[in-house]
Amino acid sequence: MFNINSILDVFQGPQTLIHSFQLDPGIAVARIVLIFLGLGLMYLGRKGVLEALIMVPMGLGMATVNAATMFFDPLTLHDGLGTLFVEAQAGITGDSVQQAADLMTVLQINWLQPIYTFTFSNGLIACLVFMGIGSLLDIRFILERPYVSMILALFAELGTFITLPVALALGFDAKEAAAIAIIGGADGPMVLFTSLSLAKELFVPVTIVAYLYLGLCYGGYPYLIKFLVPKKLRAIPMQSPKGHHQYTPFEKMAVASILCVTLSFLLPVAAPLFFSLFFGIVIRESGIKPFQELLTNTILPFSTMFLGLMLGILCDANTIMDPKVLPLLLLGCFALLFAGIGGLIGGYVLWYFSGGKINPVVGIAGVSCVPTTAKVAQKVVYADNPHAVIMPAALGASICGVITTAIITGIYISLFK
Amino acid sequence: MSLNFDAAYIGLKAIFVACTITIVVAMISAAIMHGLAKSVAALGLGKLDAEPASGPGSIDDQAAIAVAIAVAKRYQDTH
Repeated sequence: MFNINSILDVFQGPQTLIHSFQLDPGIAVARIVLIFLGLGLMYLGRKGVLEALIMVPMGLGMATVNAATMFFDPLTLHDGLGTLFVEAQAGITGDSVQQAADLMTVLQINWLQPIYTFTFSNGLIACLVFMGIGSLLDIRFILERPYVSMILALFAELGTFITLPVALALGFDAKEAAAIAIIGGADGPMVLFTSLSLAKELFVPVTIVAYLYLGLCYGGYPYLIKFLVPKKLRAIPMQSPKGHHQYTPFEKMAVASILCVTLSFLLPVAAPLFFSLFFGIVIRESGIKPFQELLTNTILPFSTMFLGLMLGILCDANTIMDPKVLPLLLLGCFALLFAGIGGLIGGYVLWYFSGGKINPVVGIAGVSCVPTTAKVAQKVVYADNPHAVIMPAALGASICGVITTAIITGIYISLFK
Repeated sequence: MSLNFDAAYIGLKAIFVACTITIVVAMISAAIMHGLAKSVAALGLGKLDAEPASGPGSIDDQAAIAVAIAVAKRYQDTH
């Protein structure tokens, strides 16, 4: 008949927690911490301290996946424990036949596996986000100041460059170091592509760290800006360049199309991203209202929500407690910190050479986390001067950040493959 | 964890190469954008916006066809 153990077996969450405490207390503690961290991220997202669009679904996903652990491990990867959400390691080890079999098994079991396998691990979801962002972007921002935007983006790549030798010094090999360094470019899809090309074994932790920090940029960069830029300079308003041309929708569509083809020709490694971004811009300017509404009102919220949710689900204790993740967390933080510092140095350089006409805060937008860093820059400036509008220049720098990160991705892959 | 300074030095040399190439390619990209922006302004492509859309693929035509089909269907239903 029934005994206390059989009743406890029904409630496998507490059972697996007790089991983890006996087997590996670190995992058990990590599960509890991640449950509370997830709920905390939701709270901070709701309060507006962190990016709500990412943090609310991510926080709930993180808390739930760490609560819902059970005695279930069909691929025998996690000491008999698992969930019914997603198996990120499926298909990574073994020969190709075994990989395909493993993948089919988890696709039939885990409810979020199709989203992970068919949209997340191949970068599709990021491309969908880019299409949605493109449908909101006005390309004139970049056309008004191409050189200023590009210089800011170059400075903001400081983190991408400086992290490479640091990762090598910490004992990562050249391919792993390059995959980690790209986190400094703050471009999720580019990070996915680089780790798939250079260090497949780091794909899951690198991707999680990269996207996790992209979400946290929203919360951390305002403090970095306030620390490095005095209030007087943060309040500088920016004017449109003198004698600038008023671009019509047809002109903007023509430029976006040619830019898309030219940049894809120069940098095929980033062609899916360029295409997605410029496709959104072209749809916006073409006047095809149903498509624009589809991208803006449906695809962008859908992909952003599932991106956040997948990130949370991937933050289970087994992944986070992987010994390679801690150095990755530190290096990711280091890369994005120096990316922000580099961007602000660029902002200062242009402020100096423009005779004080360029607000140095715009430099942070060179970190190409479109459009988060541009929003952060405008938000910080608005707090000090409600009449200062730097969003157009910031968006130009952000878009150029995508281009510079794509260039560096191509170079790193060519140098280290 | 011990630090491997030899590997870091190789990394520094790699980033010198990467940095140089990045700056060159990025400035070429900026020049292309600048040139494109000037070209579209000079070509006067904006004038095309003023011309009404026409032809079987235009949105106006498609809307007109959709209305015509709806009217014809209603006519069939009522007669």
